[in-house]
Amino acid sequence: MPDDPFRHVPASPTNPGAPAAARDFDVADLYRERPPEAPADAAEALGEKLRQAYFWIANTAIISPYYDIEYGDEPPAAYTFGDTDSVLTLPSGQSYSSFVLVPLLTLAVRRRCLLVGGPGRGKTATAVLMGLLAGYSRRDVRRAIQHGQPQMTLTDLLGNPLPKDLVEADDIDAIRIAWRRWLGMRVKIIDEYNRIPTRTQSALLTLMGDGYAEVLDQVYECPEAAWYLTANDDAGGGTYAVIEALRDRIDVVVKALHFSPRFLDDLLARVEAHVRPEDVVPPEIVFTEAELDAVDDAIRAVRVPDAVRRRLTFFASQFEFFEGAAAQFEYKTKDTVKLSGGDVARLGERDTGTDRLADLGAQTLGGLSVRALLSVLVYVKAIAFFRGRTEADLEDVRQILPFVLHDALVPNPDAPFFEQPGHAVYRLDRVGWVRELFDLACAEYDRLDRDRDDPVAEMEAEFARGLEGLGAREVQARLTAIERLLAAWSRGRKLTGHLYDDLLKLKYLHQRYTNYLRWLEWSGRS
Amino acid sequence: MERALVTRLDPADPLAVALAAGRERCNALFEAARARRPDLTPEAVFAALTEAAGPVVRQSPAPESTLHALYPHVLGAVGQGGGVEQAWTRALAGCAPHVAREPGRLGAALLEAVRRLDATSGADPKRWAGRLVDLADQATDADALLDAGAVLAWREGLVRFRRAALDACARLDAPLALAALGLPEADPAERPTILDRLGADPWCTPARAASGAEPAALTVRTVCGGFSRLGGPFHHPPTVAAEADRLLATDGAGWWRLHADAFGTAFERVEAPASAAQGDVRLGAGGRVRWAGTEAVVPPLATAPSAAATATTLAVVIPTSHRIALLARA
Repeated sequence: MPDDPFRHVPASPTNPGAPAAARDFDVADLYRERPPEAPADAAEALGEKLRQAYFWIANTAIISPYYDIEYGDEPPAAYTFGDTDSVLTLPSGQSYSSFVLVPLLTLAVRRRCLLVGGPGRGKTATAVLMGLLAGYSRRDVRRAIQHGQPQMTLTDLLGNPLPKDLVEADDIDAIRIAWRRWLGMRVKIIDEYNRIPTRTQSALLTLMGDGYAEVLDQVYECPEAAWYLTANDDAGGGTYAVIEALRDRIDVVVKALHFSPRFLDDLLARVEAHVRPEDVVPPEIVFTEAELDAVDDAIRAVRVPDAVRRRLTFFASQFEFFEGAAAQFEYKTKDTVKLSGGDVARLGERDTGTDRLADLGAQTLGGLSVRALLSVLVYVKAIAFFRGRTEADLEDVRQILPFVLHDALVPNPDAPFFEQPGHAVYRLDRVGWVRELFDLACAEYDRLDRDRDDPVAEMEAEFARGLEGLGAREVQARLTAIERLLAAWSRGRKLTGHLYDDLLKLKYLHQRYTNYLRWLEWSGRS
Repeated sequence: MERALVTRLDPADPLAVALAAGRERCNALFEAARARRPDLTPEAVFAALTEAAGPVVRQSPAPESTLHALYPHVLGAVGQGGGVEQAWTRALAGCAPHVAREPGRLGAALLEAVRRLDATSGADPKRWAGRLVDLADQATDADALLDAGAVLAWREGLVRFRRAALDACARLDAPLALAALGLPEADPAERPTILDRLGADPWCTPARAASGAEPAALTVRTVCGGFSRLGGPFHHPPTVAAEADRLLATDGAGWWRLHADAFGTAFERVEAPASAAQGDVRLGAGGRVRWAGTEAVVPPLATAPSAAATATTLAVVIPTSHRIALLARA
């Protein structure tokens, strides 16, 4: 029995598996001493430390017995309850609580995480723990929390000009700013961000998006940081509406679930031991700045295999296309409708010949932004690294996607999908809805047999091998192949989101080959 | 991954300092380049950084900005076949003091030069780089170095740059100009005469221009062109034409300007000319040729389907072939 159960970190491996691959190119290898451990070993050790941190938080610090990120090597045992056929599954593999794991991954990849949930659910406590894991003292973390409130000003958030300089300075450059200390920290916590006035939210947007603060023409460059924002109500119930650009900067959203009274004994133990989790963080799971940098490097080195990437591409292709948006092919998107002030939901009801129930794009009011796709890739790599893998797999995508796309993919509540029996619940449950969307996209992918029948992917691969040394005859043959494919597909096929993206890709390839052929001819190399 | 062959730099080495300052950018640019060229290896980039960029960065008063400017070209040069990378490395390291002053401009210009030479039949990028390094000390600045490089490239076979090379010779200090022409022993005072002779006759070599020897009999100087499937420009047997001082060729589908001189030949795609003629040439029975005041008998020309001439060059299409014979007075 350990001396202090609150500080105990088990020595046994948390999730034995293949080590993560180290980044194989780093110019620093040319000038710095090689670390004592081989890079792969170091990455594996850091992955283990990250898992130990997770288990310490999940088992000791935050009482969150909700294993909603489920893994398993075989189909889970499932039990059905109640008149609504609620299903409880028992996953066969190691599964995780999103409320602990997602903030921890955010610390590792230094992104922006929104924690939502009612008061007293542990949102701020979780964010504080992340600050402690990053090596800050409890006192520093507590003092650095920015508490959103309706009177919060720019100077409250960023800092004040020195009064002496304000009086004596001859020009604005001579006014020094006493920058708030939290700006320099690598973990930043904004409590109740939807209570911050709109103008101050704009300054926060600059900080989060561009990494600098500006007061009176003076600029403070902030280090890369993990951001934690909390909100009691993410559906617009704050004092101020959150500006869309700020909401768009948030990479991942996680819900704080309720406290299960079945765990009252654990609370009682804490009361009796007079222990607060943030006072007893074991030093073994605290990361140095260099370790967090190395974790970030190792996560970037995780591979996303072709098979996974293609399914993700197919999924992402479903949402932006909107056939009635424009005459020009390239502008047939929901963005065109929104920029013209149109109503995607209303216009979507017009008949275009596609089955709106089967069309996944009909379920959303918009597509996926580049920022959202980047966040997906980063968190997919992060969760794979956390699981000790060098390659992400499809389940990594399936599990992390709902949290990354929670706010990035806006449902169209009028879509026929939500009217289907048992689907009304998805209007309320975004996590379940996004996962269902991904499952439906994968089913369609399999139905079309895209792993084996994807001529565009073959053409992409051919093009990716480069144009260097390619003769005019081969280029002509490739152009002809593209034109034949377009001609074949134009005969009687419904225009869907994924087909639309395929066609745009074919046009792109055709244009690249055409330009190259022209260059070959004019340079006398044809 | 094998990294044992990489020689680690002293952390105080200016290249190491510059790499540390631009580490994230360098790593990101490498990954972006590898996405386009999967064969790019870390070892090759490390070697190029050490051998090509290192000597330049060490000579630079601003190592970080010098590396910043050179690094994309390092990635562009690495792994290029045909001696491109070796020639560029040689030129960059051998001309380091010049490159350190204008790393972006010279890094790009030297890389483009070796690429063009590599794509030119008969040219040797490594020989060009060696000759350029030999002249680097005589160049007063980057412009002079590039002018000397242009003259050397022309001599290697980049005949499209003949006019630019002769202009460069006129701009350069006379000793450097003559050295670039391969006439280091020539009297600098003779430069205008030599350049006049070179300008007047494309088949005149620098040595003949320096000696003042007159051209002799009409002879076949070179044969060029060829079938497109065998590396030539023409899809069908060509015909030739002349327009002022330009020789043109067409295969019915496209038109080319034919550049030709003592150092080589090149075809340049052009628009169809408004008017083109045979020029002042007459082909007679038995291969009798009358052109530019001379008359000769060249039996293979008896059945030539097409001929055209400028004042200095006679182009004759070889029967039943995609090739063109160029005749001039030797």
